[in-house]
Amino acid sequence: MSTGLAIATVFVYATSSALYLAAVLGEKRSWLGVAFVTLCVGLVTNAVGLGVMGWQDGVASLANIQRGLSLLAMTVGLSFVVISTVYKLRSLGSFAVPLMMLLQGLSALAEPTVTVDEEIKSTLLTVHIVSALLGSALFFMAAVTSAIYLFQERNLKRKAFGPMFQKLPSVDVLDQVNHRLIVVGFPIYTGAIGLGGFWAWESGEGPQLQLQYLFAIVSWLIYAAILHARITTGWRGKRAATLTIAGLVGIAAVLSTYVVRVWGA
Amino acid sequence: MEIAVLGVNHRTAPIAIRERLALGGGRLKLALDTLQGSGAITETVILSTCNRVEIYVAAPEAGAAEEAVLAMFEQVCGLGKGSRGEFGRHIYRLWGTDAIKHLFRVASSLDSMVLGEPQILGQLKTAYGEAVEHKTVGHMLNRAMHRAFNAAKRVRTETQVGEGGISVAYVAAQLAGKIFGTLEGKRVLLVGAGEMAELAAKHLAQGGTRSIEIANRSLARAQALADQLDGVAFPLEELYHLLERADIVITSTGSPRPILRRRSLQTVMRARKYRPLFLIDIAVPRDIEPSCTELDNVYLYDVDDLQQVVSDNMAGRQREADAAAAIVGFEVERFAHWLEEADVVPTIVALRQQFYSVKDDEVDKAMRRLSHLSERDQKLVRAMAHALTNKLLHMPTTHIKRFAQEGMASSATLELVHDMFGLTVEPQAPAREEGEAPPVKDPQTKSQPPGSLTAPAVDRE
Repeated sequence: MSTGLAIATVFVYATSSALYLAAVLGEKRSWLGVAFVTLCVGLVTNAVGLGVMGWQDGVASLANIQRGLSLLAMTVGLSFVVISTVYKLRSLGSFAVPLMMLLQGLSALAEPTVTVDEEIKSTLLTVHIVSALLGSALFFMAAVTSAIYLFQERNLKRKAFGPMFQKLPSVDVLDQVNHRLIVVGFPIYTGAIGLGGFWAWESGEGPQLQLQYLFAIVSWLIYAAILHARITTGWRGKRAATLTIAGLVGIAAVLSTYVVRVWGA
Repeated sequence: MEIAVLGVNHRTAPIAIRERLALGGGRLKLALDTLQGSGAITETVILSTCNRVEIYVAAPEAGAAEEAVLAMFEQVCGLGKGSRGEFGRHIYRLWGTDAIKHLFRVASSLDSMVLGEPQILGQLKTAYGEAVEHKTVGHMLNRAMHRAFNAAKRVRTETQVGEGGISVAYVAAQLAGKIFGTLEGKRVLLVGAGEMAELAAKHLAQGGTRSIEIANRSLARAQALADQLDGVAFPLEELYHLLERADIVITSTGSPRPILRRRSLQTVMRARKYRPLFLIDIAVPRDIEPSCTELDNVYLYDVDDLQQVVSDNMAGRQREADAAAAIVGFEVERFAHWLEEADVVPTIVALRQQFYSVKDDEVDKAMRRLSHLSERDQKLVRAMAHALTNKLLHMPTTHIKRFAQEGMASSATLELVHDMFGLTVEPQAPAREEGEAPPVKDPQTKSQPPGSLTAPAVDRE
């Protein structure tokens, strides 16, 4: 049943992605509403799917790499829903939802082979993984807004006001959303790194995790720098956006070393 | 009965003529009453905006109707008797399909000075609502107006004629939206007290800006403009101080050299913690050093940049206008078809009534003498009479409809038919098309007094 739900979620996300892309690229503004409703349906099936898995195999099983991807997809989706309603940045869906589809797709593919990792049954590690995923999802959304910011900023400077420019949000709003996402994501990510470090030290697995820890610290430093510079000197806009994207590269490196290590083992 | 439009617009008449013929406000009711009272016109809708004064009528006879409209202008607008030649030559007179086409084009904003601007449809709806209120519309204009609104809606939803900004002030407001998202709470600074800057500031203020500050070399001028815009005046020496808190700056001084250089702007940006700054330089020669655009979070546009956006929009709109014209053409044809048949419907109805009443009389007469027939036979006789009548009616009905479709249903032809069969035809409303709403004033259409500055004058229809 849980596999069926995971696959159904992929299809719902795919439909929503197609609607968002059609709405933004194909001048069908009115489809945004339908796309949003479809996305919400997908989030519900996603959540129910995860709930069933947690009930069958224990909550800790959700921190498994395969199911973690699904959790990541849902977190990206939830943060998008919040941004989309608070800031009216509905067009962001054409970036966020396809990624969710990808993450959920990978998760659904891996679902039949899931075996519950004994190691993960430690609560400490579960909290570490879930908070790391949550932080990553928020940073991912921040990077999306940054990419759109850079696109819009370049168009404004070049005085090129094409149809895409018209449909995407304003630079100032994108900058603000970027800031909020980092403000919320940073403490969560900090907690995740702290817990991870503590667990590695406790379990004596430290040496195997050096590379992953290095990437994590680098990306943490980048986000810390963005926040610090914005608060002290009002550093914002283009530089903040560029650094946010650099931060995401760090996050992606952390996730990939994790995936390689877990799947490799 | 035909539909006609008589009037002037921004192409046929200069503003001096248009303002004399304007029929807004108190004149409107008088004009409607005068036309309805003339006896030459059966239905009237009057559309009076900054750019056009148009009288839509349904009238049985062209000459008398035109005379009535001209006489109404003389009377209502207080023009002398001799002035008819002077204003008369500016007035276009379109009849039948031409009038319908004109109405549909006006409603779809294809006849507007600014192609695709959205206000005209609301104004037309208001004009129609007024006419409905004064009971000066009947089935022809009712139908024509509803079809026009429908055509306009199709144009709006199926083409992009209405998209994109157009005047410089409008473009400035739109760009501000793309930089700040909302204009609410933003501070506008005018440097120099030019007319264009004033216009742009008014346009921005409509978006809900927080304040308008005006810095000018002559404080008295700044003060005068500040009073008008509900702003605050400052001497030009305060410029850097003002720049620190402004979000949108419009410069329009007559200075021969830039008054804002890159180096000073850099200092300003640091002081404002790099909050985005939108600079619109509409002065020629320019007030702001062009290299300022290279600074982060500074968005600088000069007149040419804005003009470029305007003309890009214009080109795009023209393309879309062709698509819109096709839609209008289709809708006009549909309506014209209905209208043609509407002309002959009363004749056909009268003809059928005539035939049936003769049949009924004769059958009744015969039945009185044939009372010995069985019930079944009586039924047979009645059925035979009915079938015979229908057979006889078939040919003339088909031909009258064909006349209408081929445009041969002139009043002379119809009169011939009436004489031939001894018909007395009462003009009557053809059946309503399914789903057509009865004429009610659109409550969502707010009337705007002409000359209220919701947009720069060039923008207004």
